[in-house]
Amino acid sequence: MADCEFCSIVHGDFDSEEIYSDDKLLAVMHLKPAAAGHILLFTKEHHSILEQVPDDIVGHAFSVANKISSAIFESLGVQGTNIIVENGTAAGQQIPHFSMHIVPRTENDGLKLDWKPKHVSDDDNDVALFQLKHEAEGISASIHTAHEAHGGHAEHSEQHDQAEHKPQAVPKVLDKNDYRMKQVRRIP
Amino acid sequence: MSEMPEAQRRALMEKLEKMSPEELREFQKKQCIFCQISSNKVKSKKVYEDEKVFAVLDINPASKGHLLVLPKEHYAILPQVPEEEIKHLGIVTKQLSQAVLRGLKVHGTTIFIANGTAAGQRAQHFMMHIIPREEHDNIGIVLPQKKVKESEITDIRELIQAKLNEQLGIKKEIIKGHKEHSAPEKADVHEPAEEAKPKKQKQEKKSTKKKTAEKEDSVSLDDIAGLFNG
Repeated sequence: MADCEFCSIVHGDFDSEEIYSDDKLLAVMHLKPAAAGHILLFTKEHHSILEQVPDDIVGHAFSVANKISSAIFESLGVQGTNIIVENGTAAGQQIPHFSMHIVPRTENDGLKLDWKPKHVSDDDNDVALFQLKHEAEGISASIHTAHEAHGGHAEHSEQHDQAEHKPQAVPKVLDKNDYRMKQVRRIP
Repeated sequence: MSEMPEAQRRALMEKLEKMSPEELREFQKKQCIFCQISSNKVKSKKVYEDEKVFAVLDINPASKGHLLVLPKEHYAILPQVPEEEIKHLGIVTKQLSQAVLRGLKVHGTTIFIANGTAAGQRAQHFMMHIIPREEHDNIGIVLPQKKVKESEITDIRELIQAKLNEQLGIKKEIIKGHKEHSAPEKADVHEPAEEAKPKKQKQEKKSTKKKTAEKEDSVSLDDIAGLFNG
């Protein structure tokens, strides 16, 4: 898209601190970070909001976000990460090109990314439940059909990402001193 | 745990400390409220369910319709979730976000993942939040934009990238935007599948593809995507 900031980065018209690239996704350092190491991951193709991104690319994006998040944990020695999608201007999205924020977190870093619980009446809750259930009805079938059509699941994104053929960096059984186990123990 | 007598608390902490990672995970699973919700031992307002994941209304919502999307299997944090399940969770989250936009007629959603207590994670079971949003809803979750020296950003980038490349088993050339395979799935993209193209290679417009997507997404998505221009 013509004057889209992220498209300019993809086309190389705009300098960036690139950290990851494959044929679908690009990740760069945020130049005005919420915390040191804040990364933006976005699709190379222009899609305004999450709902317009094809399913297989969405899945691939979450998978890459997790890898970047793990790399942040291990390289910066932080105590946590947030992965956030601001979807629509109402959610604070400023650039009309789908992106994911990966934000390193430490205790007492001063970031206020939580929220206060809001009281919702039982009636309102039941109505919301009904509306959402109704809208969600076809989801399972549609995902299933998409997988079938691809002749299996997600092999599409595996084709171009060598990394996906490697065993996950995360072993099934974690060592006691592994930072992930420490994280688990910290959660009361 | 805060209501426990001190001695009992200490005994429990000691017990936890002695557990192997596997034992700890089993222990957590038994204690985990979301595992009990998953197996219907505890009642919840379930919106979606398939073999791998389920979604419920949050009982402490940031706004009406706040959804939690969780794997049925117990994982404490995202890096423990197998890759295929992460992809599936992402796709279900996208679809449910769409259901939120349409069903509740809101103008946006925040997708939120907290990894670790420092990031605001409270439960021991990994989850993704879908928070319905409206303009000026005062929910917060605002990412501040700090001014940082470019050299600092470069230093941090190198640190993270070295680790990432190590994890991915990728050699340095990825920095230059090395493209591996171009999946030639879009007929209207003039981009033959060849390797080692220069980074500047322009991708042609994919307006056709985008239009189709918008059409099938009907009213609300167009409206939401269109808000940027207004």
